[in-house]
Amino acid sequence: MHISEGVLIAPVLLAGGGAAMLGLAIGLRRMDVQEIPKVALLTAAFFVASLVHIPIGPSNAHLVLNGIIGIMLGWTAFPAIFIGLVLQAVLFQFGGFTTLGVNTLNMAVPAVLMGALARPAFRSDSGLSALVMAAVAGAGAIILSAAMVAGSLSLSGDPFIPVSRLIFVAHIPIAIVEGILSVLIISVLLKTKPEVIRNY
Amino acid sequence: MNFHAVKSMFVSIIIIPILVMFCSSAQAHRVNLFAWYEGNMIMAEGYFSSGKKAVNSTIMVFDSEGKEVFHGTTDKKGEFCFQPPRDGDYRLVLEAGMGHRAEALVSVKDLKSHTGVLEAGHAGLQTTEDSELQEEFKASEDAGKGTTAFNSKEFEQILDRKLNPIKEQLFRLAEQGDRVKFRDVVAGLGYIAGLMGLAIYFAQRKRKK
Repeated sequence: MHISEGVLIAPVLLAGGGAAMLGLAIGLRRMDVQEIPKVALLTAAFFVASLVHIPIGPSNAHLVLNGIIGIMLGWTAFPAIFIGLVLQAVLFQFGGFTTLGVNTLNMAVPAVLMGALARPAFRSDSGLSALVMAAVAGAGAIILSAAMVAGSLSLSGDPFIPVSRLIFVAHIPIAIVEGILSVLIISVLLKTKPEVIRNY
Repeated sequence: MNFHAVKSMFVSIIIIPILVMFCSSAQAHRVNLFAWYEGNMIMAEGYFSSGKKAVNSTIMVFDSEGKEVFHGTTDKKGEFCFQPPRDGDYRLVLEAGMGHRAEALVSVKDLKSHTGVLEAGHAGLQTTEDSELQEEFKASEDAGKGTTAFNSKEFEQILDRKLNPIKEQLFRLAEQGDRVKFRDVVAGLGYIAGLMGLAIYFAQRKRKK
């Protein structure tokens, strides 16, 4: 998921940076004081998740958790993922500084979209539909991120079809794992602390 | 809720790194390139931080003027070798797909004298310009009272054998340096906690105004 330095061409980097800044601005504007600890908690989860590899499939990828972040944070997923990526770049040399904007966009846009898609289901009383939407958001955010990574690589000259096939195959196990994980987390939260998810 | 969130934040700051520590596959996914100059070849090995070799990855070699002098792929062991045309600094770029990329610098020196050794072959080292090696050989011949007749090929083999463990160790050291360290994980979580404090501080101040 983390695109390294020197892979993308300048227009893609600039466009990604600009769009990420816009998302960051919206996210910060919507971040209430009450929400800050929750944002920090999910930033920490995102920061550490990248260290957990899922050794299934041809190329073992790591957890991203952007589906869950999207469900819990909405637009504030942007600052959470941005800070997580900055720290990963500084401390783990993961991704890079020039690609920070594109990487933020590739992981935060699916988070926001999937969060918006799934959240109405949590307000309804049907427990089943909530769990189904949690699974869809968890797995869907990974698939969407994979598509966006493939897209940014192909905009920089890589042929789209082989690149995206490679990325999709690598991330199918992660999508399944994150789908299950998000169902587990959401079902626990709905039982114990529904206000964390519902108060949007 | 605010208090609970803060509490759970601190609990997770303690628990998450411990979980990560025990998770054997806890390594960042990044591709690394380890390159060195040996014999008259540039050798390189590509590997992911998870320990997997970067197999069939594109590798490009650029000379000091930025001109591409070689374009190829790594083999089944993630290794690659290339004979540089002349002395100078070479920049190796490895592209392992999915946006993973690594670079390494190798400087090539004394390429001529080295090929000289190889060409000299059975004639021994007397023809080479490397006076240090010559002296060493004279010394070893004296010690063996002329019974040990080395030629350069045997010398190469002996050097290889002697240097291989060191090379191996250097490689391990490089690999270790590329691993994610526990203290970095803790540092990151500390930064997040600090940023949270800052954000709350500024948000509160704005609210009071």
